[in-house]
Amino acid sequence: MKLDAIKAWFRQASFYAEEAYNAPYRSAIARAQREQDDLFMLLVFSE
Amino acid sequence: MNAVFLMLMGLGAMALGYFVYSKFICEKIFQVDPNFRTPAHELQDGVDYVPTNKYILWGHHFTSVAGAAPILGPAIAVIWGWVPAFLWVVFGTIFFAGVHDAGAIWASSRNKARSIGALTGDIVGNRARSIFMIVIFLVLLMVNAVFAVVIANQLINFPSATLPVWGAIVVALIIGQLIYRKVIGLLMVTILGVTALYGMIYLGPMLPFSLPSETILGLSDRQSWIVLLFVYAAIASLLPVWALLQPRDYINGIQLFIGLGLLYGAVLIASPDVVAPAFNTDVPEGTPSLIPLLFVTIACGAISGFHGLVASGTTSKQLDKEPDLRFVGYFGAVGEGALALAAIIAVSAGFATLSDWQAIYHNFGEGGVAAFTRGGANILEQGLGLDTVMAQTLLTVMVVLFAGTTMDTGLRLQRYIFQEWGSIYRIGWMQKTLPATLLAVGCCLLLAFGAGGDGAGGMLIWPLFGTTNQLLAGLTLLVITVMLVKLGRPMWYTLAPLLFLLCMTTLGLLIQLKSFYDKGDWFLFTLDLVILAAAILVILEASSALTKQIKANKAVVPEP
Repeated sequence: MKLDAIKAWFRQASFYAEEAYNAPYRSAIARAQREQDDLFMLLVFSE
Repeated sequence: MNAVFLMLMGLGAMALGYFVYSKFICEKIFQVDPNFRTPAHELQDGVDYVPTNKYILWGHHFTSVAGAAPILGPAIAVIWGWVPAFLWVVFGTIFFAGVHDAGAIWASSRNKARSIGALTGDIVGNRARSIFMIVIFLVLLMVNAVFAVVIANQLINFPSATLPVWGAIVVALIIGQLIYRKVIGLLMVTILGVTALYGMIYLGPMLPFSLPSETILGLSDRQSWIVLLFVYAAIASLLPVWALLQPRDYINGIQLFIGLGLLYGAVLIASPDVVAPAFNTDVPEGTPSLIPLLFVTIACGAISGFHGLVASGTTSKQLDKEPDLRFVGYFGAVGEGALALAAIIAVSAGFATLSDWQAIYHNFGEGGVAAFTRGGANILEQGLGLDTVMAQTLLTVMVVLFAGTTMDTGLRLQRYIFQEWGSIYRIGWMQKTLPATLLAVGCCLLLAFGAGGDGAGGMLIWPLFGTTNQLLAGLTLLVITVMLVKLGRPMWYTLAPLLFLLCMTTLGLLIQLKSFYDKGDWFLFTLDLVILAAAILVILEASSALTKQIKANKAVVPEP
């Protein structure tokens, strides 16, 4: 009914908002994570 | 002549360009194939290569390229009258920018989504690739320096904007934390963030803030703002992206749409009359001639090489189906054109009388963003009943946020370039983040102050920025043209814009060279010379690559 329609709209809007927020920076964040992981591995293996 | 008529003509022409010309270009020239497996699918990795919904991709592409440049260029160029600026924006968008932006995505996605820089190396040659890297560096250098001056001037002219501008950074930081730590959902955060921003815009006029005109270190207020801005940009480029850059970009995108909507809505309701002359026969002394300077004063909004970087940098890696590039690339360019058109309307119809307009446009380079802010605020006040100072604050914040996000991204990209040069030429210290960032900031400060003492001369660089930006666009168009010739497709739809650009850019550089020489401005003279050298090299590379490809084609076709 009306509430379901609103909930569905809200879910769709959330999806678009999240894509809009995350899509541009996904690769930059992943790259930074990879660098952090590499640094961690380096520290661990140097022990 | 009423501004609504101008608006409808401009938007109508660009829409026609999208529905008719882009269809022709994409279907007949690029021959986009719905069954082509784009790199987003072929190389899908959930990180860089992710097929993305075309509306989101358009939104991201558009908000990345739309900035202060499509406002600043037209705001300066109206000094020659509104007709030349209008025609260049509209026809530039339809025949130049649309083809370039869509073509950049096409060229990249047909080559595993490699960047235009890498493609230049593959398709044109390594010399061209080196020129490309230098030109990118110069574009970034100039855009950072100019935008720092623009923001500083805005903060001085409109002190009611100081609170919301710096407050926006705090809002972005808070949003970044809330989303990263998953404290509340994105939609709720969006609503809160946008409310906070516009709340501060409302409060701004009540709490204006200006720096003292002579600070402790003997710097003027403009110089102090410029230094503060670079300090901010350096810190922003060093923080993790989720902390500041990501939320900033997001809020920036939202307020771009709100701002555009408010401006066009106000124009429709107020229907102000255009007071600027159609062709200014009474140009102030020292104004350079319309041709070629118009074509390098307005770059973004008519054609901009910077868009090709975005198009081939991230957009092509996220393209879901090839036909999407028509909407994402071409319509993205149309969006930019719409922003430039709004700027033209604001500076030509936002004033009450011709003499008001002439008081502002009394010198080449005057007017600019301040004219956009004042003219636009007048229209917002007429159309939507907003208080004038608040409307000025809103527009100032809009421009400053655009310029600011370009600055912090630009500085980050410059740091990457230094780090890459450090690794290519094996310079150890340059590869480290902090030294590379300081080097980038140092170069930009040098340009910002070197161009005109107290930084006010920063605007002298604007046409130079235009020429460099166009050169970048020319390189991209060259890559697309060579690809088209290789495929046996008609080349004139990209070659004609390329030739026009190279011609206007070179002429513009020569004219600027003479004016810097006459003024004895050796710093800018040298910079101009460097760009001119790059331009000549591009022309040589272009003719050599094209003739080579055309000959190669002929050799393959057997003689009857």
